[in-house]
Amino acid sequence: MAVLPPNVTADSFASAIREYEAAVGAEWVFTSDADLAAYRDPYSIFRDTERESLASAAVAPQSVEQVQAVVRIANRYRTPLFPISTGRNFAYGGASANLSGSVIVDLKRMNRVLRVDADRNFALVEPGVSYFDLHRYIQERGLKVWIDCADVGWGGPMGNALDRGMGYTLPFFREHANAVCGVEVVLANGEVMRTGMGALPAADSWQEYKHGFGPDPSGLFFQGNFGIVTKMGFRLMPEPPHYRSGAIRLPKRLDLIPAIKLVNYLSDSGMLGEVFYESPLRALLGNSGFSAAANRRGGADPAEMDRYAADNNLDSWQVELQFYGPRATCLANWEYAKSRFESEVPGASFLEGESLDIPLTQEQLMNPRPWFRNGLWHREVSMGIPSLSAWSLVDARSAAAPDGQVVAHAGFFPIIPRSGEWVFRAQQVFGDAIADMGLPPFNAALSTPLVWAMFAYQMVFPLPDDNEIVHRALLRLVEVGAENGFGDYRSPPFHQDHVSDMYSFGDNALRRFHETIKDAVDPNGILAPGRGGVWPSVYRQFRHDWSRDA
Amino acid sequence: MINRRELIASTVGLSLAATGAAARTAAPAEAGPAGMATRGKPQSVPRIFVAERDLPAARLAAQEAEARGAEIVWLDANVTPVYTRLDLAFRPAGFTVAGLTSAHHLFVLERLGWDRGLRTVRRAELGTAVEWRLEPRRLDSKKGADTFFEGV
Repeated sequence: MAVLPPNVTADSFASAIREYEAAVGAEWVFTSDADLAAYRDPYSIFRDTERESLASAAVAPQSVEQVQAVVRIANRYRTPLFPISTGRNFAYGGASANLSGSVIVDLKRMNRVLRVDADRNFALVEPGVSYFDLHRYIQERGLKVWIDCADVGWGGPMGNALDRGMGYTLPFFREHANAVCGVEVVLANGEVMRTGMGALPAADSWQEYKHGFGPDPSGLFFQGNFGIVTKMGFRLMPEPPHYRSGAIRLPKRLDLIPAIKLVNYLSDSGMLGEVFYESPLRALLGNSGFSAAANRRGGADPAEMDRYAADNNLDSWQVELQFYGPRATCLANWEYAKSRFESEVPGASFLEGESLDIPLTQEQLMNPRPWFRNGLWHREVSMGIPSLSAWSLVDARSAAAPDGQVVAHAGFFPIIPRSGEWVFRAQQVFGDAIADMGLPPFNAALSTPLVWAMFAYQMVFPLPDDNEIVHRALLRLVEVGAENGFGDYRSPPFHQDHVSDMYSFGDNALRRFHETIKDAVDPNGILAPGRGGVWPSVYRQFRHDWSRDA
Repeated sequence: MINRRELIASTVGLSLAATGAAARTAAPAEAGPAGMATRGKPQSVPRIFVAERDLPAARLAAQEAEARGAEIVWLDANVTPVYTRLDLAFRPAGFTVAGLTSAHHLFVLERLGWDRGLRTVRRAELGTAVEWRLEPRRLDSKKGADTFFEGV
């Protein structure tokens, strides 16, 4: 299984490995199949095929100085590097690189929580800090701040933010890249750079004012390959004293349009945490007539869907709201939300949720309202508590193949404008695309927006358990989405070039700009070639053209 | 063919060398080469045995493991408490851990073990479950860490 980096001889690579060992310690350089197994993507569409991306080696530095040394060695021997933090970016490639043969720079040993300030509400961490680590650090010290977790807590805040992951509390915190304030980066030439106020040596405001002075290059390091991030600051949510939830049920299909307008208002005014949309009509999916209506080509007929709802005494939509803050404020905001829905959406009804002082008791934590979306999983992350309970929802491993590739797990979450009209449009576009591909219908008319991003919606589309089908379907969905303005926000490495191709305004002016910078700051192209669709000139021939597979 | 009892016994540390038994093991797909793993040698009792409470075979194995001196950690539907417990326990130094769990729980714990310098040396089907064993990575001539972490 051993692979070499492109254009590197075995002798030269052996010399590079010896230098890596001298730099970080021999025990922290991994070259055996057993050790490198940890850096394979267990969910790759291409697992165990010639197209799977494999590491040539892995090196685990423990300090910024060692990262600098690794980068300098990579330049000397032209060994491409692919940095990871916790390596748990499953659905988006895990620890695997865009370019097969890369040397993985495993930053798990750099695992210090450097600072948490619960008066100024920020944290500064190293790459290997997991959500569990940061949460434990805060809890052990009794600090009154929350973290915003990704679905699965074994990942870390830095890696997740760098891939623009999202979470579940208030908007400002749950779009993780937006909550970042200050990064430290080892550049391709081995220099260390700090962004924002971190560039001012005496400043203590690095995690408070992210822009500093002059152009702010921080964004280049997100889904990018312009440096290895070694420290990152985050804004933290002050621990709220109270939590309240409630749900609103809407009788008619088109009620989603005014509902989304109202939710936008409430959320953008700072009143709401994560909002969960759901359709009670899912209870009818065993009815073949209803199933046909929910999968109708060209989009569902609102009148037909409303008839099914009325005949079965069901509402068309449920919107779950969460409030954080003082008890009185939570109640007032919930009452205000109800009054707005009552006056603007005829027939809206309301389910009282919970009203709980924070911190919750364990019993309160483990027993969310039965109607609360996805139960415990969302409960924990909505309370800023990292967990692995979501994992059982996505992992379908069998006893017969406990670590073999079972099915691909690849994220496809297109960005959708925040309006009911656009949600219906997305349902129709992707529903028709799935039908055109001859794939099983996914009840498009019941697909609901995911409210992760601050100012955009996303949707999720289940696909069959067949890697080749998933591969082609994802490629096609990326294209169909792009044709209708729905761009994928994040992708596993094997499809990043295809997604990048879609962002083509001005003859791909954005990508050409990125690659101009890339060639200037990383002339040997050693840092994560291909990440985010950005290829240095020396490896540009490895860019995938998937258009024929779509 | 090895029987169930022998299979469990091998997981919890009873030597099967004399039986010559070969469990129906999936080649530890992600386990180390011969020089790194400990298969074929008498195995010590794991410090911790992870037993998924809903699996009858796991409950049986837990009894045997406990009798051999292993600490039993019960795994219920949510793997989080076991993960976080082992995460902290492995920080000072990795140690041998075995278990009998569902496959998707092994997947989670195995990733944690890899991070802490452990490697999978045994993995075998047992009905709908998997029995497994993780041991500290053998460094052979490389001295030093047996855990990925040196403390937080």
